[in-house]
Amino acid sequence: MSKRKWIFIGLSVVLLTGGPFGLLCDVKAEKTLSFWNMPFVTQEVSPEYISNWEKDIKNALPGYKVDNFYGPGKYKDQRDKFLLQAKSATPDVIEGLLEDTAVYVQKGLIEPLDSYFKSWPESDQFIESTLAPLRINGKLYGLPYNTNARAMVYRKDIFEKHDLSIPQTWDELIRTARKITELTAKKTYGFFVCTEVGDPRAAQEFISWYYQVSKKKNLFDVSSGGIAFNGTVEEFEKVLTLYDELFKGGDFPACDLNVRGTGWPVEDPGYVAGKWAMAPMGPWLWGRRTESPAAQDILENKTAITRLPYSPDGVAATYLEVKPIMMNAYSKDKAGAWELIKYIVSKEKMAGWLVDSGGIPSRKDSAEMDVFEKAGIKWWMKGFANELPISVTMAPINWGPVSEANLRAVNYVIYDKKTPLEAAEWLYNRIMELKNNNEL
Amino acid sequence: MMTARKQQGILLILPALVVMGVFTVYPLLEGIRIAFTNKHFLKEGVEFVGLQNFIRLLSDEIFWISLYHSVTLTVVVVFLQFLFGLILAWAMTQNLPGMSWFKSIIMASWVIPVAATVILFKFMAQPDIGLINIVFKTIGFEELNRYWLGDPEVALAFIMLLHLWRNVPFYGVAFLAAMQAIPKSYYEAAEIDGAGAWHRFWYITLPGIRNMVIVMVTIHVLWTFNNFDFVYLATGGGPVNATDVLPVYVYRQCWNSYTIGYGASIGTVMLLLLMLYFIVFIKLSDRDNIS
Repeated sequence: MSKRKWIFIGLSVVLLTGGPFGLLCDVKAEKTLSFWNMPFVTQEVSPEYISNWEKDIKNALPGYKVDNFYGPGKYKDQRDKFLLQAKSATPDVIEGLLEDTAVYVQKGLIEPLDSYFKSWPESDQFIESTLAPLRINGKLYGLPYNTNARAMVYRKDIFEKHDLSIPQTWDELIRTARKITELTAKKTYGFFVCTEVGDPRAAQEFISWYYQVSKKKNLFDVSSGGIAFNGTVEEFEKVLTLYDELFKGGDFPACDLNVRGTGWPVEDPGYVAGKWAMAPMGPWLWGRRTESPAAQDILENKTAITRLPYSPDGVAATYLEVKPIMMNAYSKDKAGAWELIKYIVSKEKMAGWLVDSGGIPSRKDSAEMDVFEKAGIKWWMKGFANELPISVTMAPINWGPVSEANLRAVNYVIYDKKTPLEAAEWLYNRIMELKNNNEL
Repeated sequence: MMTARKQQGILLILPALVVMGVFTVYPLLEGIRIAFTNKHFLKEGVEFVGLQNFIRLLSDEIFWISLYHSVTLTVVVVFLQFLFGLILAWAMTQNLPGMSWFKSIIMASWVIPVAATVILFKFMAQPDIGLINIVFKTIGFEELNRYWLGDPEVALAFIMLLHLWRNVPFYGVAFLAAMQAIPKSYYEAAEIDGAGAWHRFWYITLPGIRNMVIVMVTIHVLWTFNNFDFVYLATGGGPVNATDVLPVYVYRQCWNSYTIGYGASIGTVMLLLLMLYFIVFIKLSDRDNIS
C-alpha cells in the first residue's frame, strides 16, 4: 500500500477518536458533582422536594453543578455499579444501606470522613448512636441522614371495627392475622412479610425476627481475630417456623400465598392499597401518601404503629437502620464532595427530606425543628423512634450471600420444600460454608 | 511473499479482527483463566486453585438444578418454536383474508424490548387482576387463579411461554422466506405424480427449508441456553430454584456472592457444553449432506 494511503488511514483514526474526546473535555471543564441515591429515583421523596433541593443547591454550592442523574434506583443495582465504576470517580457522593458500607470499605472505595467531620462545627449535633454503626475499624465512613428501627404498622380501623387486640407475641400475630383474613373474606390479608431472595427489606425483616430469638445477640461478631458466627440451628428453626405458620392456616392464612417470594415493591403499595392489615415497616412509608387519596387516608387516618411482635421465649428486638451518605474515595474533587455531603446532612435539608419521606433525623437540631409538628408527622416519627432503644445494628460483613441464604431457607419453608428444621440445618451449613470459604 | 491483493484483504478485515479480539477472544480466554482461580470481587490477591472450582460444582445442588433447567428449557423451547414456527409459516403461505396485514405485525413480539415483554407477562400472571386469571375465572376455572410466576410447579412453563411468544414469529418469518424460495415447479410436478398435501410437505417443503432449519435451531439453542434476561427479570431464578438456569446462577455467584472464580467456572462449563453440542450437530449435518 502506498505511503499516501497509510497517512490517510492514520489521519482518519486520529480525527475519529480525537475529535469526540476533545469535545468531551471541553464539556467537562465545568465543575460537576454527582450524587447517587435511591430515594430521589423511586420518589420516596416527592418530585417537589427534589425540585426545590436542586434549586437550593445552586446557591449552596456556587461554582458547582450537581448532576440530576441520581443512580440506578435500586440499592442492589446501585451497589453493583458503584463497585464496578467507583474508580472512575463517579459518583462523588453516594447514599446507601448500612450493609453497603461494609462492602465498600472492604474494597477501599469510600473515604474515611474523620478529619472532615472533626473540623466541622456542626458535628456535635449528630446523635452518637447513629454514627457508631458507620465506624468500621475505628474510622468513620459515612454520615447518617436517616435512622429508623423496624416497627409494625397496622390498620387501627380494622382492629377497632372487629374489636381485635394488638398482637404482642408471634402466636398472637399469627392468630390475629388469620382472623383478619377470615373476617375480611381475604379482601385484606392479616399480615405481609417480605420473602423475596435478594430483597433488602426481606433480609432486614428476617434479621429482626432473629434478634428476638437470639436475645439481641448479633449473627456475627467482627474483631481483629476474624468473624465469629453465632447462629444456631435451634434459633434458625424458630424463625423459620414463624414464616411457615404465616403462610399456613387452611382457607384463611395470615399471609396471601400468592405473594410468596415478593418483596418491598409489593409490601409497601399493598399496605397503602389496603391489601394487608399489618406489616413490618419503617417510616419511609409516609412518602406514599401522595400516591392516591386512599393511600393518604390509610396512612394519615387509619394507621397506627406498634412494636414488632416477638418470640415468646425471646426478647423484644428489632433491626436498626442507619442510612449513610458516603464519599467516593476516588472522587476527583473531595473538597466539593464534602461540601455536597454537608449540604445533604445540613439541619434544614435533613429535616426537609425526612418530613417529605418520613424518617428520624440523625441530628438533634433537625429533630427539634417544628416542621415535623406542622406537617403532622411527629406522631409517625415517634412511633418508630420508640423502637430505637431495642434495636440492633447488623455486623459489618458482606451480607449479600448470607441474606441470600437466609431467604432461600425461608422460601424452602414457605413453599413446603423443607420443614423448618431441615431448612434451619441447611441454612446453618450454608453459612458455615460461606465462612469457611472466606466469603464473608 | 504476500501479494498486494492479500495485503489489502488483511488490512480490510483487520479492524473487525481487532474488535473481535478485544471484545470476544480476550474476555473468553480471561474468563477461562479466572475459572481456575479463587478470584473474589471484594478481596485482594488472586491464587491459582487448579480444578477446585470445578470439583465444587460436582457437589453444588443448585448447579445441577440450574443445568437441568437450562437443558430442559432449551430442548422444549427450541422444539416448540420449530413446530409452531413451521405451522405459522405454512399458515402464512395460505391466501387467507387479512394475511398481508398479519404478516406486517407478526414481528411485533420480536421488536418489543425484553424488559417490556416481561413486565407485560408479569402483569398478566397476577392473581385476581391479571388477564390470564380473569379469563380463567370467566370460563369457570376460578380454582386456577394464582400468581403463575410464583408457583414452583408452573413457573418454568410460564418462562417457556415467554420464549415462545417472542421467538415463534421469528421462526415463522424465517421459514416462510425459505418456503418461498422453493420452486413452484416442484409442487406442480408432485401434484401431477399424485402426491397429496402431506407428501408434498414431507418430501418437498421440509427438505427445501432444511438449511434454514439448521441455522434457526443452531442459533436458538445457543440463545436459549445462554438466555439470562427472561428468567432474571421474571423470577430471578425462583421461586425456590424452580426457574434457576445457569446464566442466572453465574450472575448470582458473581454479583451476590462476589465469587468471580466460581462463577467463571460455571461459565466455562456452559462453554464446553455448547461447544460439544455444536461439534456434534455440525458433524451430523455434514454426514447428512454427504449421504
